[in-house]
Amino acid sequence: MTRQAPIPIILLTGFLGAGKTTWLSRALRHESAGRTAVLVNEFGEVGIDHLLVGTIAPDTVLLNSGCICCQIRGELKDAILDVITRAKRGEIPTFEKIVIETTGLADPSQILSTLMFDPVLHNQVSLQHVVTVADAQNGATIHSAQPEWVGQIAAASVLLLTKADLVSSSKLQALRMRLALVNPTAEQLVAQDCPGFRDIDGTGDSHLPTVNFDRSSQHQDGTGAQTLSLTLERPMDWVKFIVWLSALIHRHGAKLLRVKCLLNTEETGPVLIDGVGHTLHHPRHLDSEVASDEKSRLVFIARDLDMTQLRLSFEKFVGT
Amino acid sequence: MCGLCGIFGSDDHWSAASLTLSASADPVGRRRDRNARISAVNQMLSRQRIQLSDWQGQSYVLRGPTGQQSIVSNVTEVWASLEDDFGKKFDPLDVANFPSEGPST
Repeated sequence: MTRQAPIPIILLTGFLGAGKTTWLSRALRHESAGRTAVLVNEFGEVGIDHLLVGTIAPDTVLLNSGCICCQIRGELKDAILDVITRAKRGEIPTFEKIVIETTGLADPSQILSTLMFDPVLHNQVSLQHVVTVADAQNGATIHSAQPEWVGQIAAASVLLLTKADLVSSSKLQALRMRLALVNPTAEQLVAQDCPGFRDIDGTGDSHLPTVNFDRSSQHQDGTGAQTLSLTLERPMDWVKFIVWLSALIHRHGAKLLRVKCLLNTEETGPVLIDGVGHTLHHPRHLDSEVASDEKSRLVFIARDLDMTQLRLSFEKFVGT
Repeated sequence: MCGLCGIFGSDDHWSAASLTLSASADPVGRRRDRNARISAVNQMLSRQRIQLSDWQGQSYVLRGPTGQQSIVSNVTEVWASLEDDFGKKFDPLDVANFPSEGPST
């Protein structure tokens, strides 16, 4: 019996009115949409009327691109399993990827926790990207005051900047810097230049700051989010790090918005660690070409956490 | 499962992910990794008078100074068990928990 490969999932999030639906509608019309299943909380929010072909099952509609769109009622886990089961039974068209569009006030860490830890789900699906849509017009001003916005930005592997054509280049640059302070690990793309899913594929995966931090650096911006970036010249002790990280996540997971590390270990090539809140993805081996300079890079994004103490703890328990 | 020692394959928790790709087929390497994890936890708990040890190559046992014991499956459960069973909230950022000397490298 052959085991089917997990279905890739793209989590699309962003604050209220940031432009998630606009981008998603465009991406679903794009030639690279492929066979996509979209899970949304409200059909009405998605603006799919112009894409709609017809209802093919309860809470499920067929779009003219061949993609399907399902409404999430109740638990996300049940919605995902339901759509997979119905595709296997032939009740709805098969699909090659799933896009989950969250509400504007959603905390991505809770959704990620469901995707990663659920014993049934984590064999059926694999998280490919967390795409956070950031509004160039209101992102740095109105939205940034909201804790949900900070959580969504911190969780992103890709940041899609919308409404970039409506602001001056200096304002866009200021937003880019602001976003980089909150989440230096995410790839920043302008939504206008990325009309389809293909444009975000292969990005964000092993993206870590290209800035050369001299040993360590800390940033704090007006959102309350703080960033600690460390660069280590020597190979790291994998076991000590993972044990320390488990204690840190257990105690401070709620304050730890994001952990992203590209580790150079003695045993093998670069290993990617990626976590949001209490949820940590399984460590992944990367091609050795990804990071050839043999340095380990660690980025911690947190809110209301003493980053100086975090660095000290890292040095005491893991070593530098 | 190893037919000789009865050890199941490596556990699925992220903290047990080995860096050698063939680790699942290498029971000696798995044992070595477990011992390294136990040693690292005990270094973190050096000021707690609670120590972790291996249990049958499948689980771990936390032992307190009064003989109290608790079985845990993975490293994350160590910190939860410290709170629930031993009443100690371990904070890795608390200076009082830092080892007296830096980690041996």
